[in-house]
Amino acid sequence: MLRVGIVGAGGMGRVHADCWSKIDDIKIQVICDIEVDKAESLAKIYNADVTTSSGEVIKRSDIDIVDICTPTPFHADDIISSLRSGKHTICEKPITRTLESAREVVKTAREVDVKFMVAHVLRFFPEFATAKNLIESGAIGIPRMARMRRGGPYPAGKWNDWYAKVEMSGGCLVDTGIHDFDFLRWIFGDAERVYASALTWKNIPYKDYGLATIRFKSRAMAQVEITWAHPSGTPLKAGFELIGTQGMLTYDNYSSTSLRVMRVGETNNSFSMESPVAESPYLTEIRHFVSCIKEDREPLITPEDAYRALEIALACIESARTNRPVSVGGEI
Amino acid sequence: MKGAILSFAHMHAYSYIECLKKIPEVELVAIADEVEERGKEIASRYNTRFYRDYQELLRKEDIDFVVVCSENVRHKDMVIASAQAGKHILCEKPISVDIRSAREMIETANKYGVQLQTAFPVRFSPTIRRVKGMIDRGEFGKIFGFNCTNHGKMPGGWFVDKSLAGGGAIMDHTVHVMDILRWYLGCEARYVYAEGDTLLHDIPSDDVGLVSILFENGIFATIDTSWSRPKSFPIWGDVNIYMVAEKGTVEIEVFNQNLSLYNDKTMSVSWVDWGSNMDLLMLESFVHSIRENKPVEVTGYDGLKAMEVALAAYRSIELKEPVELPLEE
Repeated sequence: MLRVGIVGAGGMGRVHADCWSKIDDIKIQVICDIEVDKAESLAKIYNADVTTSSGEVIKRSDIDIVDICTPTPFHADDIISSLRSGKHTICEKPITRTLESAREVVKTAREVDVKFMVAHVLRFFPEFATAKNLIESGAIGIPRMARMRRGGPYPAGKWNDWYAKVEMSGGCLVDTGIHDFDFLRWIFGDAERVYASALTWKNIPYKDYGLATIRFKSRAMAQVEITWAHPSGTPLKAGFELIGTQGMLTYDNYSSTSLRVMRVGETNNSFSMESPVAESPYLTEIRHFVSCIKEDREPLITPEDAYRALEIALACIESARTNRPVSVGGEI
Repeated sequence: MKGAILSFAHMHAYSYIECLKKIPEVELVAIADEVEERGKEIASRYNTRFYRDYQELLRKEDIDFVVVCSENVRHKDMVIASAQAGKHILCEKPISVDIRSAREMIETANKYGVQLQTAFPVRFSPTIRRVKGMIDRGEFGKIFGFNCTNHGKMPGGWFVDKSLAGGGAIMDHTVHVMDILRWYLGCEARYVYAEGDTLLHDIPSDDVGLVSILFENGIFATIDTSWSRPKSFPIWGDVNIYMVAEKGTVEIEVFNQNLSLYNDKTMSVSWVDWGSNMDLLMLESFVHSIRENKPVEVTGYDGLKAMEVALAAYRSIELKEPVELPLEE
């Protein structure tokens, strides 16, 4: 039996809690949120303890795993103290808000004898995992170029409106783009330089949009479009083109979807799309982390991977601020 | 209206000759082609006169206009000679391969009182025009940025020979979208940053390009100019323009008006275009402009400004930094 403490009972905390509850031999022991009501309402479902202090969770001796689902700037301190207390630690992406703190996390993770993984869940999405497998099998020859698109409406109205504060969330390129940056590194290896344009620093209320060009050490190149500018209520957008010397793989969630529902509502009619799969990618991800603990294996996403994805994301917003290309890939 | 086509080096000439045939007021009097076999075959198929030497055609034929479809570096001489002969000119894109010759072409046309139009058929796309109207009416509020592509298959031939094309994929594919962005925004590019390389094919020119543009008004755009459609791709390529603005997101896929054809005879899938013929709309507009003696809808200057961005992209790749416009000659 592995016992879990969840820090942060917002959207991702809830998703993760549901996943933990579906895995055998796992007990959600405690749920923490600085807003006690949120912690209580979630804890009630899983019959877990409640606290408002992440320190309380981390120091408990009846916890094996700490799952950190707080806003980005709070990750670093909790990851480091959790690892130092000998707890296996999984943390939402991005690893931290700054490279300095990410470096501290990587250093700490190397020193301790517990498992640590940043939840770059895209690697567990079947469309992305299938693409990776196809590329590994040589389906498109040598992969050389990619186009990535991701985004939707602005994530407004969350705790303290933290997504709207660039110093907390980093904006759309950091918070959302990081998914694609990690995926691109998975395909192409390390990046060399980045150029980006974005609304991130332009103080436009509740709009963010970024276009990034990434050059990899392998000479491969990628273009990434990230948006938080769709009208609210419209479906998320995700897609890619992966181009190799002998072919191309494409995905677009607006067309590759197994279910569309047009619903008559009381006040507003609605349209939604989804592609149900037998197991949610979030559950696959958490199962993977659990099996790494049980079988003493290195998780699919290493601390260095998480650092490098953040490095690209921060280079993007730096480039957008200065209109200069920014080098990445230096020593951690 | 009597016209001639000068050179069939660029494959668009094959579409233009079909289109000219469809315009009732146009008589295709002659064609010139430096490749004799090819030219003679086309001339006999379209029942028109053939010249190996375009200068001779210009001297002998009484025509109102020419359509220039030579290799990019040869546009200059053909356009200047045609202007001096008093013929109106529709010139294939990119207008040229350097600023100085583009300027000379424009000045010569002005001097001899003929019109010079750059062949940007995408301008005449009903979809592109629909969105132009929406933008001009202010329906989207402030525009923030554009994510664009003009993809194609690797064309081979002189297109990959820098001494004839002036570049590769970036030279070939920056200009269509750039022209649309300038038209939509009424604003010029201020900075260009680009990454480009030869990554997909064994050819001497660049085959991939990501060209980022910062406009004078702060709006940003990226154009993917790559010859990245695989040989097995069901259609030649695409022109996509995704726009993000204060009051909405607009996704234009100009050539996404297709039927999917699953063909057991060839064991292949292809997309068959049912959209409006933009080449025809462009040629009709050109002929109409010169007949009515009105300014052409897409000028030589438009061609120059779009080409300038491609040239800036190549310079940026060399310098690994953003390049400020306008470029020196």
